[in-house]
Amino acid sequence: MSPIDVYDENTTFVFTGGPESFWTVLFVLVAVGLFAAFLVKMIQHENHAYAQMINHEPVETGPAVEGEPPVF
Amino acid sequence: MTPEDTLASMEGVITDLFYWVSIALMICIHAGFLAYEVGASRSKNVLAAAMKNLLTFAVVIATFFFFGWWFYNAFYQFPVGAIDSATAALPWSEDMGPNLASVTGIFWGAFALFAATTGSIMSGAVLERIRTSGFLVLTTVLGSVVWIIGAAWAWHPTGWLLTEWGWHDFGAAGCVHLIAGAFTLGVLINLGPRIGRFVKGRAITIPPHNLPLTMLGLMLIFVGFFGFLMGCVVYTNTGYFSIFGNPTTLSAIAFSTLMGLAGGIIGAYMTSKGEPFWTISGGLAGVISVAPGMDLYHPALAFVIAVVGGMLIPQFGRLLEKFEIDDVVGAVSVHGGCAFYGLAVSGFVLWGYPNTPIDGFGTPPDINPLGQIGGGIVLALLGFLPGYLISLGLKRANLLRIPAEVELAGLDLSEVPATPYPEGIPITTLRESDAVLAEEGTS
Repeated sequence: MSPIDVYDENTTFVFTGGPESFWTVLFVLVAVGLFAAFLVKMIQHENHAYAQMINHEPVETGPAVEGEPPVF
Repeated sequence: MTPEDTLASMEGVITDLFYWVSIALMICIHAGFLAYEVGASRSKNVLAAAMKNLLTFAVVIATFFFFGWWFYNAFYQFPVGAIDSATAALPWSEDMGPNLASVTGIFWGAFALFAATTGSIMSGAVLERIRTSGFLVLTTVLGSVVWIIGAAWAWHPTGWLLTEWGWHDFGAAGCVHLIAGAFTLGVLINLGPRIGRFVKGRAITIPPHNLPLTMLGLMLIFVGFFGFLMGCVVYTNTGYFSIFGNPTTLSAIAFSTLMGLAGGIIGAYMTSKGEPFWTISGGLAGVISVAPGMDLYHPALAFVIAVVGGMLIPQFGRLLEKFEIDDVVGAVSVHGGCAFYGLAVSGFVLWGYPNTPIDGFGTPPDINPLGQIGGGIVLALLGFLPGYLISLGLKRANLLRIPAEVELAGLDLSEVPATPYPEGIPITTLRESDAVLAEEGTS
């Protein structure tokens, strides 16, 4: 993915893929997609947590932790 | 290499270093906001408050790379004015990655921290009842769209408020603090107060669980402000300039920043009768009040302006309470209120100061009251309208506020798989109390 063959006095951009290349656009799209996925995952986590809490069910399953209060 | 080449090369190196330090110091603002908001929350919400703050930083930085920087380069004339040249700010362009001939990255970094700061200003106001996901949508819009359009208009070497109205705002009171305060007000109207904050129209104080931590957080924000204001200076190998092109020095900014901090604290102490939360918030209020003209004010004048700014914030807070608006940390009062006050005052105090000629735009008008107040109104509307409308949309989609049951139980029990104080919060037992109790027990 190197956009250069050698470092010389005319070297400017050196980043993977180079400007406006397929790879760079792909990296940006994947990064934006991951960001959107993060927001969706957070909304799902919140909806699940709120519903469990309102129904008096455990939010997380797993072993008890010393010092933690009982699961809601 | 000729001496000219060496000089040009060193300018790039020092520019990188200058803003690198500014970025690092600005991260103290986020450490400060985190401590401030954790302290201001009740103990059932502290980890959720901390997570919200941490995620604000992450989402604003990321989205400022995806599209925020483009807005700054595309929108400096009203309503848009440079779409073609702004293609250089798109995330796949040659300047938006490692480039040996470009310092764009360090400027982008400084602006990204300004953006994250703007997004974080709203964070404390909405504590303890906003959905984190809804908040992150709002802070993305504020930090990576709204404020940066305001910065393009009001904090750009050829922004239209400067070229048309003679606008001057050295420390970004308008585009950062006023926009954030106005946006927050719009959100608070739709979000509503915390349960129990107002009973039959009467305001009930909900005490912070750790006021000393809140105070320490504000001290960290003070440290970060030196990075913020350092980033407001344009460094070149011929000296320092404001973003509006007038020459200045860091010495000038040191005078105003410190006198602003001092004046604001003293002013807020006077009108809050020494209430610790308002008193230390007065430091911020003072710096924001003097921000528009801190490159030009005499230090004594900066002190006077800051004292009045500090005196105003408890009054702004009481005014909001009359409308049953629950601003947990006083963000609307401190940032929105003092920014508008500071801009209005600067219009009169700086009236007649010249602006410098700009290539292709001629010489902008002198600084004047109509330009400063009018610009303040424009930026307040630019902040308020999207804040109100987008939060209204989120409210209708049931994505703005947490359910009442969750609010009563606390966000840490639901959203965060951890406990902040598993062994409880230690309470100091006074010897005198022990003695009294012992005496009561024996009598």
